[in-house]
Amino acid sequence: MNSLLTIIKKINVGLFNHSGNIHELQIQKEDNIMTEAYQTLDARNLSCPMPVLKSKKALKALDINQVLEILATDPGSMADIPAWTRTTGQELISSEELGPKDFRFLVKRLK
Amino acid sequence: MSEPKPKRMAIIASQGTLDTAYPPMILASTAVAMDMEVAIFFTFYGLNLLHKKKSKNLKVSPIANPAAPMPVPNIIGMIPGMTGMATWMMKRWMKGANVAKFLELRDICFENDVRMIGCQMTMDVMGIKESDLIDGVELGGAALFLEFAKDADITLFM
Repeated sequence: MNSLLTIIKKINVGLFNHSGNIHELQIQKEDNIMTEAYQTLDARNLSCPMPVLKSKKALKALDINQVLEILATDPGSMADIPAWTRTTGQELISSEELGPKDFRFLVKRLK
Repeated sequence: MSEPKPKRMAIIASQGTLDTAYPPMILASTAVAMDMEVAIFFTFYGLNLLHKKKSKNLKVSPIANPAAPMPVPNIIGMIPGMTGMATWMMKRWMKGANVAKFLELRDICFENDVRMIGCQMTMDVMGIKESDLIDGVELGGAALFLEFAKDADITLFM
């Protein structure tokens, strides 16, 4: 009898956790949508190192805590934009691969 | 509390062809975008990259260049006009891949305070005058470069 109860509890806990995860996921998604970019930088059809150079210039023109949206087609930017934000201490909110050679980044200016 | 000291990169650019002109400018412009301090020491053929006229007309060598996407035998590379041909082809490839122009990258370096140091000794050897070089170039020798490079986190010879 006891063991049966434990099993039921486990199932319950499992269900709870599961729904909890779904909830978290939804919140994350909403957060992403909620993050509004103050400005968009079109770095499409530019090759290394121009997307990073233009991003730097555009981010510098923003105020602290404002968000820059970067659009790029250079496949190297998936590695380079995160490396640039890590090195310069800015926040990479998201990096997405929308399709082949179609990338979108959200970067918040922290300093 | 003071800001931490910025990272520093020191580059020696010793080549003066179109293909070898890119790496120092790409790395220097990216490094300043990553908040580093950069100085480039242009020595020997590297001075071409700062030359008013020659830097607008850099070329690619078709001879002894087996790594070229379309390598030509040396004996064909010797034919007059082949240097122009190789240069034209490389420019076309670069344009096709949307690579920025060399002069554009150099302008970005200047705008972002990359220190461009021309080697005084090379200028004397090759008979290059200060007025032959673009504005904004510092002139100096090994000691001036090493003074900067002694505190560098990255040092590259190209």
